[in-house]
Amino acid sequence: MIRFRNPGTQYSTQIQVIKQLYNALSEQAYFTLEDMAVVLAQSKMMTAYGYAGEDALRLSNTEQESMNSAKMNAKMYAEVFRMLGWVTPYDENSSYPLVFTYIGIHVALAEGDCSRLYEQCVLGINTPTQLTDNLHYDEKVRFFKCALRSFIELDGVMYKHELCLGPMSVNDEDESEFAKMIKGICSLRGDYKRLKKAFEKLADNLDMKTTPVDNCTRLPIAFMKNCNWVESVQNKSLYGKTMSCLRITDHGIEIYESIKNMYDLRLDQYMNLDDNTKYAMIRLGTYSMLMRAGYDMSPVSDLIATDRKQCKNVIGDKELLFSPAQTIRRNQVEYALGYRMGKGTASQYCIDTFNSVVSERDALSNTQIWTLNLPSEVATSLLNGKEDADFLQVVHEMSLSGKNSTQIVDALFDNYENATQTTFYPLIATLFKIMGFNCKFSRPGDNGARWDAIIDDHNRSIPIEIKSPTEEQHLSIKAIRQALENKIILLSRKTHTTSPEVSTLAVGYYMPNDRAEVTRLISDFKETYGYRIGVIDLKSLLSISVSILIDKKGFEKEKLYKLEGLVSANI
Amino acid sequence: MRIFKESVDRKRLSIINDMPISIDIRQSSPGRVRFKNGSTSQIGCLGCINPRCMSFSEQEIECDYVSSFPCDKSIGVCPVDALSWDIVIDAPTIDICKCISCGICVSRCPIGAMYFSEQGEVHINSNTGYTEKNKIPDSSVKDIHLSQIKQLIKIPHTGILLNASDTLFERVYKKPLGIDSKYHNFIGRNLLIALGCKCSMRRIGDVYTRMDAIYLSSTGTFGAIEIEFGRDTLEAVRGILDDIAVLHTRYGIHRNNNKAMVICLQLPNERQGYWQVVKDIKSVEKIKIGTVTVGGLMFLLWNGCTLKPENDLYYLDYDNMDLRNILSKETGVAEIGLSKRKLGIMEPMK
Repeated sequence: MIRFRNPGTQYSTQIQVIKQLYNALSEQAYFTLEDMAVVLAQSKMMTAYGYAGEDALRLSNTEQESMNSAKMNAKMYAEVFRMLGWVTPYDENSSYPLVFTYIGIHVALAEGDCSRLYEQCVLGINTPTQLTDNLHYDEKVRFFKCALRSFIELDGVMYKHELCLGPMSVNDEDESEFAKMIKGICSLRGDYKRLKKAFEKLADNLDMKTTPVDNCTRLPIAFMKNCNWVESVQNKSLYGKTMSCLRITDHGIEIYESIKNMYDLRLDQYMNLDDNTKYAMIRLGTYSMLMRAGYDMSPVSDLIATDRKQCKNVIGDKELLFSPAQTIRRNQVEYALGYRMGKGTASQYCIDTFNSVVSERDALSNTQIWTLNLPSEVATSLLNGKEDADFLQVVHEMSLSGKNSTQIVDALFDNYENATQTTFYPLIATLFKIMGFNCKFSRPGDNGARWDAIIDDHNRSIPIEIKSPTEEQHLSIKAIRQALENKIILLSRKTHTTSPEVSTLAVGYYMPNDRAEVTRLISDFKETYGYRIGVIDLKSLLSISVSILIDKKGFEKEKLYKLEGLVSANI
Repeated sequence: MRIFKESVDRKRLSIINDMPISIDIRQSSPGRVRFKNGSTSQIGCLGCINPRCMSFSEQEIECDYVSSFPCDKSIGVCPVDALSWDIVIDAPTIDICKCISCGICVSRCPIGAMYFSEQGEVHINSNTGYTEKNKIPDSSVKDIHLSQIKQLIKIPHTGILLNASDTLFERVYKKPLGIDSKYHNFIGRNLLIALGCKCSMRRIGDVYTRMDAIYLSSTGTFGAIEIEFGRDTLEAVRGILDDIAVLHTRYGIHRNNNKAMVICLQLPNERQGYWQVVKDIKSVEKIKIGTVTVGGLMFLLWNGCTLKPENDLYYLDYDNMDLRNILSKETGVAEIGLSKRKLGIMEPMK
């Protein structure tokens, strides 16, 4: 099966990016991923961690290349542009650096809407090519032509997994193989289990999980939607249950009708041509793409006529469907078209000129650690609910069974991995009560209660935003926003006494994935609104509570009222 | 290297024989141009070079109040890709299946050649009276053409593009209610630009720039924008607090200078937490978040108005959820032809 990677799929962004790149890099002999990254950042086409421009570069400048988001972003565009035939390797022996292609330059310099040329480039995608080494697949197919035909033969509608089982896994030059593929998909229809089984078998044969196979459909679907060839529809008739499917549009049908009788030249046939015919095919293929895209080709009409004569033995009177920049190496293309890329100034951009502030960013990821060394007693007077008693009982039993406090924390933590709001909210309230805070939880689904729990204090009440692991395992920015909202509501509605200086809390199963961004937002909120937002995870709360229950040691409670940022506590 | 030109250059260019002094815009027929001598006429599509109905200028899509804002650079006027240029007839063409009748393209036609039918369908007048369409586009003709377009934009365009009614809005709202989410921000941004604001929209796929857009009104009011087509309006309010903080700390825009707004398809119902939370934010933070509907913005545009959110004009909360009153004053339309609570455009539905 053809593996389409999953890079940036927005048409408008792809066009904006190639234009910016050409504008900045066309004078260079070639360009590297670093050149691309710097240009993208400087033209505000890339953001990192909430910053644009050079700040984004500084924040993403790390020695570990796969962690350098600026470079990875550039690589993503390089891959999609190479697929569209807008850029190509400078050197025959390595994938990078790159140069612009003739078609790529036309896209970059287009003054108007270049959707028609874009459409030609999408149709130009075919395999195999001279530009794609080390592939894990060997299908020979002009994928999008084959996909459009498949849609038409399958009554206009397809489910995405049928793309994997169909046009992505077929040699479209072999009519019988194509017919067999269509028949195969028809035989799956009517029973979703059959489709599921076939898809799982395909993934198995590819030695892949089903999710990455599914991901391979994103880029082709995006290309087809960008070209307005297909649209999303809800369909129940294919597999007896409502599924989000794709339907070919009138335009998609029109495009297939316009290309189906063209002479579709592929690499194998091209390689068998004599040199003069090869060069004529390159010119004819390139100029035909431009002509179909609405370019005025009258200045080269004589040359086109001569090349047509040269190719007549092969293509007859048919129009040529052949995208040289997407099929063969640049030397031949440039020779035939009479130009030479790879001349100009040296590569000029280097990410290292932008001092890395990754360490500062990493510092933001740090959490403060609360030590549990103060003698503490359990606040038994607060623990009078059934859920409190149940929790104490569980801890007690674990302790009796010989588990130490660390083992108890780990066991409890695992027990609550799939907890819903109904069990998680009371648990959090119980844990705060063990620490001596009068915490009350709200009934899940009670829209009148704005916070999920609250520490009810005479003067310093603290609202708590809770995310159960079934809502989100890792706390996110969403919880931080809600914690801010809780604070504002509490100050406005005055249902409990508090003051602006007292913290508002967000509690979740795990700490946020992107700790730096959460910390930065907490700091932004403090600077803008003046409120402290504290973040604690379940393991820390369990550690404090079990430590108080078993080891009679706790933390300095006063810290909770002024907590800002991420905090952990370990036994 | 020979670079070929796209065949978008016009084969013929229209030149107006006599420059009108005003254009009366009307529903169900093309705009009527009025000349100095008192005579009137209808002029068909001029096939403008750089047609305003098709594309915004770069200045319009870049809100320079925040120069480093990483904005989307799409310049298409039609927020739902319903408009394309027909190179055979040298005029725009509308896909009525996609068109949401926002009126942005219609409002930008310099000669009033685009107009709405009563049902809200966009039509294009191709009658070329009072023009010479057969001029070969050499550079002098091009200059005249461009200069005439510039003048036409400046002359008064008066009248109403489309009269609001229940039936019309029912038809118009059918499409945005089910439209692909990728169009939401485009609808919001493009309406704001058409209403005289500069507006920059977050690039699709940019997960780090959290606000949907930023705007600067023609009178200098700046603010962050959250666009919400669904029911999760509370998330939009939280988003606004986030936007204000990020713009305050990272872009140097003081929170008091940020007149943020939520653009929603329908006003939240009266009992939704949105209204009370907006009031809480005003009470505690003295920040007044504006709320306006897509239909409300369309109504302003159809009535030839601009968006002037000065003095927290669009601030609505639990104590006042009435957008009708504001729009009535802004447009001078005393009785808006849309029933109370209809589609949640002027008041909450429930």
